[in-house]
Amino acid sequence: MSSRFIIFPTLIIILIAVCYYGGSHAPWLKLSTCLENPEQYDGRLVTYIREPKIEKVTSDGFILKHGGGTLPVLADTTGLRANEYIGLTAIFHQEGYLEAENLVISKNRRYKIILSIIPVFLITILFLQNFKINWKNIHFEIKHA
Amino acid sequence: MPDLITHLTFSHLIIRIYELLKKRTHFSPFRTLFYLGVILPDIMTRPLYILFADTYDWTVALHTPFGAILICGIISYFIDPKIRKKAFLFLTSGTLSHFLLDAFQKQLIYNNYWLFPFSWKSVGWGIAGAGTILEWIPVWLMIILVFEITIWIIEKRKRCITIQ
Repeated sequence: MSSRFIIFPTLIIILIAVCYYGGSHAPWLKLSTCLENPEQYDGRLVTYIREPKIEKVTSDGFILKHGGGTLPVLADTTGLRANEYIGLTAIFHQEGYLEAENLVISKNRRYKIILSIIPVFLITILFLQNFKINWKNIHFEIKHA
Repeated sequence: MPDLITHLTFSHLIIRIYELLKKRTHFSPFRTLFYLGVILPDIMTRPLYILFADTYDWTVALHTPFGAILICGIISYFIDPKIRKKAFLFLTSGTLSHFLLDAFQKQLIYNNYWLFPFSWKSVGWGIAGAGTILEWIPVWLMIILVFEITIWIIEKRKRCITIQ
């Protein structure tokens, strides 16, 4: 039997297994987890916040916009601006606010995403120029071999 | 993670130097596979969790050397068996160069799980932030341009000498 029918499914199974392991054993504490059970996670360090963004800068910090809504954050406001994406680790308080531990502004994040699309297109074109699909065997082969 | 243009320019230099050492002057289709390997860890994960942030935990394995090599293995099964091994090597080399560059980026929290699934230790040297790296794109492009022009001139001179 061709190795394609043994090794290929094996690789797929291992990949699914490691993805499952990553999802079930990830070491970071998510803000969404804390919000689901505030008493249990009071005083814990939140290390994963979904798409953190500054909604509004206040006198003692800022209003954090994240995947699940908004939340006040106590922080040094130096250099902070509304609508900036940030990297943030913070102490969770069950009263419904965060205390910034580490905060960095994700400078140029939007540009980074937009610019990253260009290489994907270039490589796709390059690949299609150099490889052709063999429908009979369902594989790619070099065009001018 | 740095942007994909930075990844591509950095990896382009690596593959070109490799080709020069191997005395290959013409474009090899395998270089395309190397480039594909370079962008693979990001294109397998970033679009998913930019659009659906809740998938982050489940896709994190794909942005690790172990997960990415598995994907390279899977992709290489869709490549002509005559060149499959070589294709796998080029895809994997590209992928590893991706992780090498990622390690230079400053991380606030975890990101570079080189030892996954055996350890969640994040590896890296944290030299520059992603935003700062982005500002260096013109410099990278200039380096590539100067590099390619220099190679082109040297090759042209070599050909002239051979003809004479």
